[in-house]
Amino acid sequence: MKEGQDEPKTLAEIAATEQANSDVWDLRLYVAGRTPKSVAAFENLQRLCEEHLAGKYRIEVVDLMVHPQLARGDQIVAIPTLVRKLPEPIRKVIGDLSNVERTLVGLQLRPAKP
Amino acid sequence: MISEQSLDQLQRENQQLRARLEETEDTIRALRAGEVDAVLVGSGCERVFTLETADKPYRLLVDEMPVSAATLTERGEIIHCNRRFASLLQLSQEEVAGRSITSFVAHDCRRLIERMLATGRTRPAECELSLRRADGAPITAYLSIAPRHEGALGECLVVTDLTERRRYEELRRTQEALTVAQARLELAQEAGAIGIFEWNVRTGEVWWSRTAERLYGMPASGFDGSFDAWRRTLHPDDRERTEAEYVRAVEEHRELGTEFRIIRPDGQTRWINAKGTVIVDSAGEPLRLLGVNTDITDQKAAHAERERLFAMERAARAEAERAVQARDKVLAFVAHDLRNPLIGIEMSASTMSSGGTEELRAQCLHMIQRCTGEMRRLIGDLLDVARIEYGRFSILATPLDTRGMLMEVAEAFQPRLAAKGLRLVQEVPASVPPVYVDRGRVMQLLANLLDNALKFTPAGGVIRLGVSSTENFVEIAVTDSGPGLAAADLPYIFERFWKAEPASRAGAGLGLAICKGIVEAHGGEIRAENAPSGGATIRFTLPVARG
Repeated sequence: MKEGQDEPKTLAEIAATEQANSDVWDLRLYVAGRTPKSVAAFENLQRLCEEHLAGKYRIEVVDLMVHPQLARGDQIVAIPTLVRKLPEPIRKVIGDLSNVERTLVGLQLRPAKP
Repeated sequence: MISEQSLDQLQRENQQLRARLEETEDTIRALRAGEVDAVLVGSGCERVFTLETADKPYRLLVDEMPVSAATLTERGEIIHCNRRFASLLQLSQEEVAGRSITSFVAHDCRRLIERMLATGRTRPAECELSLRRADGAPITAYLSIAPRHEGALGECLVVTDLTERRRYEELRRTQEALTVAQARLELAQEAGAIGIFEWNVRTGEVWWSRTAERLYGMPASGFDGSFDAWRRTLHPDDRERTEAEYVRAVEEHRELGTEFRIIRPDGQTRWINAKGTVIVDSAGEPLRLLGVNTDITDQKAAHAERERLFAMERAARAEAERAVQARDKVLAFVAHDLRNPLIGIEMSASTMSSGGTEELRAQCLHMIQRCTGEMRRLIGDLLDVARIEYGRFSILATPLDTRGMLMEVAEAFQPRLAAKGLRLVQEVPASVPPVYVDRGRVMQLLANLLDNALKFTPAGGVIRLGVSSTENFVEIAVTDSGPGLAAADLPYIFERFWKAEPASRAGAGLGLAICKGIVEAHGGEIRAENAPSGGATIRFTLPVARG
């Protein structure tokens, strides 16, 4: 996770890739520098993706310390926040993703308990 | 009436609202669960507010507390360490973060730390091991790990540097030992009245202990620390010698050992003993003279007193020995002197008992009378000496004409003088005053002295009788023309049982002792000397009779 290395893409570009890889999970993690929760969220997300979405996911990390204006698009309030851009509809999971069960439900990788 | 289109739209809106609600609920939940550590604030959400700022006081506390602490992942990687922890390892906090704690542990302690990390996952673990600083120096440390608890980022590690603590403890022990040693030294100085000095020969400065100042009779801090100030305390007669001895000790790198006198501010003179040793630098050049002073005045006085007593004792012993020898000698003389007349008596008695002519019997009778007279005189002398000795010698004084007294004695001696061909020359001034004396005793005195002079003067010699007078005393001198007295004998001749050798042995040597007793009983003085002509002179004084 190095801010500046993965330049955040514009909405137009994202839309373009959406078309190209419809079966790819496009995930965006909003962080604020290297706060402990941000670090934890990134680690948890990576582990979770490797386990459940191996080979068909892409994580984009947006550092709001560097680009706070990028929060507006997804209406981010709390950090860290994970946004599932694709597949639609857009889903958000707030927090450090330490609760795996809740995260899986939030990403609709597992049905919610009745 | 709701159209299908509007129903569709309503459902969509409903769905969106539900999603928004879920999102809001999830945000609140995440905030409550502490899964969030930053929020976006401002109308356009344009400012990020991290909770890092909020926990700054805690962060500061952890960073600055005087305990080395760090958080570890389960694998032992350091997530965060405080400033103290980093400085213990001589690294920055950034350099430490991310590295494994194991990498800071000495090789032989690696298994220990691994076992501890394993235990630390579930329950608190502690152990003492050796850490390695960035420069390779070992640190003996005490490590304790608290297991990660719900919601915590990692395991908590606390490190106590035992090296520092041990060094501190050692320092404290050393300081305690020093204090004790100092106290002991001071006590010893006080008890032994020992003053310590240190003379820096390069700067000329002199350091004195408190006891040294007391030794020199100065108040505390009364010594100004200069060599000259010490020099001035020295007794003028000892100053140059003592200073030279100090300087020589330094120049020749010799042990100092000397004694000298000082004059204290109150004028008291004291004897000081100084011992010292020269301290040299690496090049062998003298740096300091370090030494001790002790007050030996009392020792000196005691030594002198002991010497005096020894001398007195030696003299008394010699005196006693001589007295014993003299008594032994006189006993032999007395026995001999008494036996001579006794033999005469026995022989006369024997001759008379066997008959014989009238003339012979008369001769024998005369002999017996002469012998008994001699024995009576001898026994009388012994008794006189005993009386003088025990202070029971008394006189009965009356005024007596000096000239008449001397004429009478001279007449009495005339036959004996004539028999030996001696001449008695009297030098008596006409103006000589009368004396106040015991007639019998003074006649005995003069007879004794003339008797002696007669014995020591060879045939044809002269005996002089000189008289002079002062206001209170008449002095009479009897001079013979004999061999005189040995100088060594002069002080003893008036002691009882003394007799000049090798004069012809006659009398038990009591005569002069009796003479002295008689003169002193009259309040006069008697002394012996050798006359310029070579003979011996005995002079004595007798009191002048008052109107």
